[in-house]
Amino acid sequence: MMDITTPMKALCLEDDTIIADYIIDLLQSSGWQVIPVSTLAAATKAVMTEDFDLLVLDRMLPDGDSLGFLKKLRQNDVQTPAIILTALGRTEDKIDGYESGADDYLPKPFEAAEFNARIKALLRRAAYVEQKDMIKMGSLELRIKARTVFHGENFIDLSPKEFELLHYFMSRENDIITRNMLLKDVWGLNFDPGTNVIDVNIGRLRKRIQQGGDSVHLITVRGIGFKLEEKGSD
Amino acid sequence: MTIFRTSFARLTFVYMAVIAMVGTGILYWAYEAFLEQSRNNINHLVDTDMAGLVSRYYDRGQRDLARHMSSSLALTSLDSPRQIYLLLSPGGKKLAGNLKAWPHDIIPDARLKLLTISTTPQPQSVFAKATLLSDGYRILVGRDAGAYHILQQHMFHKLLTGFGAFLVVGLGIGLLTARAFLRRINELNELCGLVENGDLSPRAPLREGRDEIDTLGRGINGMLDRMSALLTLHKQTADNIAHEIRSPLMRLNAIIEQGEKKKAIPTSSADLARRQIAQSITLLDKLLDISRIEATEKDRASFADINFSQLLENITELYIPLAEEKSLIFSVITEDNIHISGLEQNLSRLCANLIDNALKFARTKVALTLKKDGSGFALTISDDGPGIDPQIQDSIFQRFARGNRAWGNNQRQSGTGLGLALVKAIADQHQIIIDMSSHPKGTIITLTSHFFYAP
Repeated sequence: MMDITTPMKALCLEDDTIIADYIIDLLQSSGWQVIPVSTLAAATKAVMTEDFDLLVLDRMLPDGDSLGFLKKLRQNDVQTPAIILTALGRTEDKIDGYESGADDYLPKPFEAAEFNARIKALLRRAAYVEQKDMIKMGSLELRIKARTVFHGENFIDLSPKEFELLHYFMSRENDIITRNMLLKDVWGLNFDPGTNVIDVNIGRLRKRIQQGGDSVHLITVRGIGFKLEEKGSD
Repeated sequence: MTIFRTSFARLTFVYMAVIAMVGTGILYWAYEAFLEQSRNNINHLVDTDMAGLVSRYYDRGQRDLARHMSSSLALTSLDSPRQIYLLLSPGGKKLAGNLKAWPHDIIPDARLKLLTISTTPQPQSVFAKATLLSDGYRILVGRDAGAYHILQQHMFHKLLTGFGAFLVVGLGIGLLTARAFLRRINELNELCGLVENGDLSPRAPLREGRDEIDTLGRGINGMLDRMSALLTLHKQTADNIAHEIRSPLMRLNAIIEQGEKKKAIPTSSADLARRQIAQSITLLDKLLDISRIEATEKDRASFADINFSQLLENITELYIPLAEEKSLIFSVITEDNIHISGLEQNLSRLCANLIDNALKFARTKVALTLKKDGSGFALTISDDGPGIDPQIQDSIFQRFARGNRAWGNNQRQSGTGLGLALVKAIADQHQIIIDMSSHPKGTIITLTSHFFYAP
């Protein structure tokens, strides 16, 4: 996806230097060219002079809230994927964020892996073209219209939610999916239900898949989330 | 509100009733005074006439008087004579006059009296008085009262019409004023309704004038400005607290990750530190959420129609695998199409917290039922856990009220101690009543809402 010769460019709007350095470091290790700014005024200037592939925005800045800035960009038809990194992490704040045109909303503090997973998902969504009716991984086959799953010859009986969950993983093959992403995208919840319910649900889906075969594994990525991968792949 | 129930309309009615009573009295008095004046005039005419006749009697004798009477009467009409005369001898014999007989209801006391006579085919109303002359002669003098009666009738009709028109117009103007008044009061009532539902943006319309309603409107607007300012301040404070606590934790997290990367901090320690950070954040978020929900408890502006049955199904689906893992029987019975007006995320959170709690403490089973209940719904979540210590049952929905949840069990349970406080705040926000009964064999929590509505 990434072109080696011309690296993708990200705008990082963050006024806290330690955090800004951390984010820049994270993005640079994934091959991004990062333009750091610390005020809305500087950010406005930057977006007017350069094109970006990603906007990483802090919310509470010395000269205001970046939601207004993002809203204005969206009104001017700038559709660059934007992720809000913020100290305002409550449910209502998240809703405000999405309503202002944010593609993702990550409350601080966040971990490197969560950040990387979100950025990857964000870019995938931005590049999303067309949904095939059949998704295949190893010998695992998922048919969207028929809502059936086969692992090799074996029919896998899934509940509607399990089907949705597997569909989510299969359309993000080899991506790390965090618990928050699952909560938000599969269950539509903007809060953390506390107990390890997500892990238990994943465990159950894992068992169902394994009933049919061994070609695909739903693995837990320690401290971050989960990943669906073909056996033997890295 | 109908116009007749307004205080202004009532005031108009009372005012008009008083005016009607006093006015009737005054008009009756004027009417009577006017008629008395007319009677006095007639009395005066009769007296003059009588005086002439009496002096003729004494000067020239009764024969001349009788002749004079007859000649005077010859000039008046026979059908409805203007003047009435009668002269009787001491023996009661009619000597002159146009009356057949002496009216039985008149005595010769020289007082004016209204009587009905029948000199003609039609009975005639006359004013008459009689007097006794010397030697026993009696004389009666009268005047026709027709004109007086016509005057009386005219006067009565005019006063009645005038007064009636006055009352109708007065009442009409009063009710119109009451309607205008009611419209302005209704504007304020509508405003209060909007504010009650959480919309603090509208303001009372103000006019140029400075009457009492404008003053009231200005007062309401002032209160609203103050409330909005306080809410904004509350939100800003919460935002600042969040920012001031999250930012250092974010830095701490960055430092831990850098250290882990450089192998200065072992991964196990880093994980432990990260878990502590996550717990602090969960605690902070819950506290801020509770305080935000409590502060905007009456704010229902952003409420939407929620299919509660579906919402609950979504949450139970999430927890079914957990129940299975713990080998608990989790029975869920929900009635379809139960709706509530509310906030989806908050209601989901409320259900998730209660189910999570029940699954945490249950020994073998958790049962959940949702059904319509009168005009609302009832949601019951029961577990067969050790129950809640009676000493803390009352305070279990308060912040940090954890303690020994289980009856006679000193084991402290994990969690922030804010879950049920959050449940309570969300329930209050949605006017849902929470009931709890707990004994050593289990706990039943019932949520009831009376604000169910079908789509």
